[in-house]
Amino acid sequence: MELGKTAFSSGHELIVHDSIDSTNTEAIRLSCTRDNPDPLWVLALRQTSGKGRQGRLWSSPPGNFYASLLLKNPCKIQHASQLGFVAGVALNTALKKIAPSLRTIILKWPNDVLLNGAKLAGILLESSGSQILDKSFSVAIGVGINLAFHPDDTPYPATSLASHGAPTSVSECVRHISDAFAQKLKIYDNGKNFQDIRSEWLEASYKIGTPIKIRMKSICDSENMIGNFGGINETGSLILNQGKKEQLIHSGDVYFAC
Amino acid sequence: MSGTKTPFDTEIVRELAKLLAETDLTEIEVEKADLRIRVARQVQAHVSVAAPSTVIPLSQANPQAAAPIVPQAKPVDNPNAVKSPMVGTAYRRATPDGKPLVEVGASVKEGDKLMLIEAMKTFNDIIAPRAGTVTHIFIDDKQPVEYGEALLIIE
Repeated sequence: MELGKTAFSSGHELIVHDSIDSTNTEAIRLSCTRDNPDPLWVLALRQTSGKGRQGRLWSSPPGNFYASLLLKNPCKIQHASQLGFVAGVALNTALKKIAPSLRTIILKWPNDVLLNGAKLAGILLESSGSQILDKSFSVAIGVGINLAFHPDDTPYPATSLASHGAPTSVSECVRHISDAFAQKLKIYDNGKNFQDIRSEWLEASYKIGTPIKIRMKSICDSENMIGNFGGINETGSLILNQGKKEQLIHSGDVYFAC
Repeated sequence: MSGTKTPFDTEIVRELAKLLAETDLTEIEVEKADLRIRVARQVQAHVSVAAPSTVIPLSQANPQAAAPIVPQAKPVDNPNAVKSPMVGTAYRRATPDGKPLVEVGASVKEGDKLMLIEAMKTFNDIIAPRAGTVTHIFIDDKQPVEYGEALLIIE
């Protein structure tokens, strides 16, 4: 198992585990003890406590891809969520090389990868440390891709590359994905050039004007907002068009074409 | 906001408020079936009921039992306030079913995790910039927060 050539020549490193609780958790643990500022991939063949959003578990049997990229001070902490879009365009680029026959991959705000409308891959970012303390902060970009299997008991439809006749291996994915991340991080340039990432993400997402429903979880209740997809702004927030009114959404579950 | 209000017995609130005053505690939380009630003596003291929540000033529940502490200055101006580094949604629990990471009255060490702020599926730890005691918490679980908004105070 090895990184792609671009990732390797950019100084990225790779640690592989047969089994681990969560690659994100391990990456955050390492961030506390590791002095080397170079990006580090933590990959596991299986996870025993893979993480999804809001405490949900990410099903992690052997055969699928589970890895986290640990970055030190990749941008200002208030812009950390931009890295989710960097990850999204990197995955889109890598998947086009891994499975060139698949034409229906689409990025869904904020950072899901869908194939034929079903979830193929998820991205979960966690930061550690804080610039509040005038110390460095680290971000773990967790990536899970359903290569061979996908769960059937999720609250949303899920799919895998194998079920679309595009079998691949974890080692092939490591090479393509690590290279794509190295390329996109170079473009991102520590946050100096989010605009190019944003443009590329918008090209790979739903068309502007697509009907959209957003379920927001507030302190009181679930709240649905309906409107049209207006793209994302310069910080990555979703723009919801509701007639003449335009709202910025920072958090929520998005349903398209509803 | 949508949904119908979950009926609850206001007598429970009075009992809790009375208990709060008797024991000199700053906060009591009870949970039964789908009903969760927290009574707290803090700046934004309130009673919250899960799905949907009902907000009742504690002074209404029992004016004599536990008067809220009113700060002299805005929370954000307090030099001991820990502020949000970003726009997002605050989570006081590491997992939906877990206990709050900190409560009012808790002693914390520098580096302890206090809250999480989520923005676009990016979870950012809010950690204690110094050791001390959490004297106020201004944010409810899953509450939207603004950049620079005071989250809590560590004295």
